[in-house]
Amino acid sequence: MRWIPYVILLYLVVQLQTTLSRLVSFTFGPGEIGPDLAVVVAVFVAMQVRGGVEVYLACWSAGLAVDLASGGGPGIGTVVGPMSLTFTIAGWMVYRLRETVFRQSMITQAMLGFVFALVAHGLWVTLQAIVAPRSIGWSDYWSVMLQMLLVALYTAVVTPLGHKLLERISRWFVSPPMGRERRSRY
Amino acid sequence: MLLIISAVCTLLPRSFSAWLRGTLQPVLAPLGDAGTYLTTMFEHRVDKITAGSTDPKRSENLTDDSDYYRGMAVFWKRQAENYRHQIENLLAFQNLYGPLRDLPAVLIPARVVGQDFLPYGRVRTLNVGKENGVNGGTLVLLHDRSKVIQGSHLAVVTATALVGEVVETAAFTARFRLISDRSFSMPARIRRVVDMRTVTVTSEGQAAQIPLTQDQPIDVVVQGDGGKGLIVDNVKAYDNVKPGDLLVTNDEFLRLPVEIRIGVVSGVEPDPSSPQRVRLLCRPDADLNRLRDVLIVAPVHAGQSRSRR
Repeated sequence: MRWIPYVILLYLVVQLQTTLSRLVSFTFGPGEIGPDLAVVVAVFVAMQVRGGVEVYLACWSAGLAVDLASGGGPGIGTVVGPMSLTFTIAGWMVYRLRETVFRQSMITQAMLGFVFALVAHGLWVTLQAIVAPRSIGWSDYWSVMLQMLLVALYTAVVTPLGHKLLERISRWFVSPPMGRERRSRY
Repeated sequence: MLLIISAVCTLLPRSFSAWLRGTLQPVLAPLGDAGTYLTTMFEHRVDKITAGSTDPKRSENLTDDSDYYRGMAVFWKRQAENYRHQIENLLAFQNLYGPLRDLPAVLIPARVVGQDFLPYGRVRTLNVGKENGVNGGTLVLLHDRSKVIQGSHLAVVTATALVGEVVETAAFTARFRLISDRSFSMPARIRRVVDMRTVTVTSEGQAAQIPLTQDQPIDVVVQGDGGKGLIVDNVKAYDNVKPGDLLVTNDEFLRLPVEIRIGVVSGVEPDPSSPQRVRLLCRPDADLNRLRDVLIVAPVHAGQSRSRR
């Protein structure tokens, strides 16, 4: 991984998500539904980057960026930490699954995006509800979980498109394979 | 190791998270301001395009109305200037002899520079913070620039609706939750404008509806529904609230002791738990998704400089 370009990429993703993503979000049923662009980046990294440690660190950083840029959710004022935790767990899952799937397939990318968002957001909502200073009612909890499911579906739709874009710029933040492996690849 | 760091951060006090976010916000805010401006501008352009063309007669009526209101604006501006002189004279007298009776608050203009990364909470980021006198718990009003009257003492006329409450403040930025956030709740009032309350009087076996002459506002507690609207629970069916009635702030609420509009009742649903009660669905007055310019009501406590008002 090339970490400085990756941090810049995360910064741009946070900017996009906190400003322009409103244009592609809509209010439906339990609340606002929009894609999670950090999930798209994290899934891409988990599928393309070679080393496991690098994948976990990259997913953790993406989760931390989401945590730092979010203050609302179950309860009043969410805590920093749960999203980096859940992104790392979800990143580990995708990293383990990637050898068993065809990575270039759009359906695979969408499925992995959905699973990643479902695990990361589902655990995040649950953890935030547990540590919230004011108790959250079950109806509110299930309402947020339903919203989370719709967000995960939306993110799954956006993931293949994000992969197409990230593939074009991946050489900026994903290091090419070294030595013999590189030669055998090309 | 990473998981342990995250777990420790999760268990640390909430103030630590607020401090971390506040430290990061100044890095995000400058670009966020530009992004929010672009998004708002784009949405307004799309609205204009999709609104369709106006027919000539309507256009003529609108021009006439516009001329009339422009004349009225000039008239009221002059009137306001006269009143201002009178009020200044009265205030000078009151400062010498009477108690202070105005709203003890400073209105701090601010701009929305971003929204929350995740859609589960309805939280926005502002470009002002503790350095500008913003503290947690202060209320946020919509600042309608189209209604600004130039003058140093008239800022309050631009505050057209309540839009939220500040929940986190850092040195240069603050976060506020919108009134439609699930965790938002505050005392409010319903002002009936559609149909005044009536009582049913039965006399000699015949029932008659008699309107009450002194129609009092109904004290309620309003909360966000997590989407675009607001909910008011536990309203007596007897109060006969109808869609179109106004939801306003409660002027006995210490943090904002004036009546400012919050929204309009858009629907009345029966409460399944009690046949005598209804649930009100309300639509906010402000377009919360396109919020950009706001005013923060920062209370001035005794002992603070009055010159800031």
